[in-house]
Amino acid sequence: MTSNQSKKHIKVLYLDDEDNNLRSFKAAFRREYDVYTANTSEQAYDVIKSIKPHIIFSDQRMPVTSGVDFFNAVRQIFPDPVRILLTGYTDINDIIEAINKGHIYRFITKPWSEHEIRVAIDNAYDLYNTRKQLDEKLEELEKSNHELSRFIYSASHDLRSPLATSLGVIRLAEHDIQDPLARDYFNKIEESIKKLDVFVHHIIDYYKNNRSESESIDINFQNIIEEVIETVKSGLGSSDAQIDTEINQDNKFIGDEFRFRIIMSNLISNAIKFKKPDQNRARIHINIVSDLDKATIVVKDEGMGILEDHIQKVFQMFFKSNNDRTGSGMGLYIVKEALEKMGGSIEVKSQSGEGSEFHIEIPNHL
Amino acid sequence: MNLSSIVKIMLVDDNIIDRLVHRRLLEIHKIGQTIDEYSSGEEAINFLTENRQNGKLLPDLILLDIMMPGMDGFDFMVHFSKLKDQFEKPPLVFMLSSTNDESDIRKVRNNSDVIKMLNKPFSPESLANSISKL
Repeated sequence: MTSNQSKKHIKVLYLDDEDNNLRSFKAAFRREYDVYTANTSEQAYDVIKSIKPHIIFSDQRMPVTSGVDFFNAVRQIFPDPVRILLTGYTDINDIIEAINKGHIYRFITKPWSEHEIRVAIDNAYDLYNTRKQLDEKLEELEKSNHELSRFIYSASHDLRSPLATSLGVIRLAEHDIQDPLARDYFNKIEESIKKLDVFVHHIIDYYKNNRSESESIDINFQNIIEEVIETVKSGLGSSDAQIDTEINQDNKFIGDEFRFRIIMSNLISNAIKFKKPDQNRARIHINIVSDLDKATIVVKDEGMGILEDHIQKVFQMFFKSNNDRTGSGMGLYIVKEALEKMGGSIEVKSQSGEGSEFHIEIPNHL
Repeated sequence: MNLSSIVKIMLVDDNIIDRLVHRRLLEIHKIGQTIDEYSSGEEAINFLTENRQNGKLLPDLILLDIMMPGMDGFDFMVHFSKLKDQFEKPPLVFMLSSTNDESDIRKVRNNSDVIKMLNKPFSPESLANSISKL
């Protein structure tokens, strides 16, 4: 709120065609505030341009332009100053309209009292400051948003590409190097790099999911699922995983493809990673039924399943089961967050040692 | 398409280690017989422009990195698409990405001159698979 200290820093402009009014206004307030006066709108513009007042008072009845018209013109060029109209009761309809349209902040009826003007100035100055702070915060926020977007973009490339290069070299080593000890070392490097890779992916997905607006486009489930399966398999080096898909899509489905990809790649890579230790290869069944209202997706695996104690926790951020050596603890959390943004839902059924089954529903934005 | 019809391969990538990895993986998987490396989109496009009428020198397959300084993979494709009609037999183009970025996925999908985007690290199996499906 306004302090009791000197208010000389508050710049007030008063426009009125009657010099007597200007003089008495100035006499009353010049000791408290930094007061400027003008008796034509041209003069007023000059003052606004040069001193940038916080608050502008204007008389309503003037020979050339009315106070409301003046304010309406001023705010197009100088939106910052708070505008207050001085007027008689007779103009009340014009003024109500002006206030409703946002041309003026408030009006004061004539003859005014010093107290009334003082309260008006103090309130208006508070409003001016609040707006100003809000604008500054908004600007800061836009700047940091912009920087974050750039960061995510460069992070996804600059962090990911050296990892991909390293994994490529390791792939070469697997072909070209026979020494068992060296091969074992390469395997250990590979495991660590993959762990970092998953984490980088999840950080990027997390930020993108948080920040990007939902973008609805035509989704062909068959094509996307095929692409996601291939990407996940080659990423995990699990080309032998057996994934059956049954997709029934007879109609158009409009949805958020980016988030759908995030969801499916996390569920499929989990299903591959958490196969039972004695299982040669992961077995996964994906079933998608899409109708005019929604898509229902089931991802079922025959892996190690989820412990009963853990089932409530798997969607929490940074939750990791003991079996999870490469995870970031973010995958299912991101899945849940992405579904929330899409207006969808997810449920999980699982029995430890028997496999897991995820049920997802995503609304069709047709 | 039969994999053996891929004889000449053009490898466009600014990263020298990635070029080494790709070259060696192609050799190991016996894809192609000669592999020519280009460290920038400009260099590669210049070669194609100069030799557009010379079928023997033109590649059967182009592996194109997306993210390169200067002319990136998508810029390259703009030039390539203009040149394409002058080739007797236009090469197959696969793009390589280390980000799997969704806007890149979409751009590749909408570009009928690119067969597919492959993720890095480069997988010769996926390449062979896609070619055999053509």
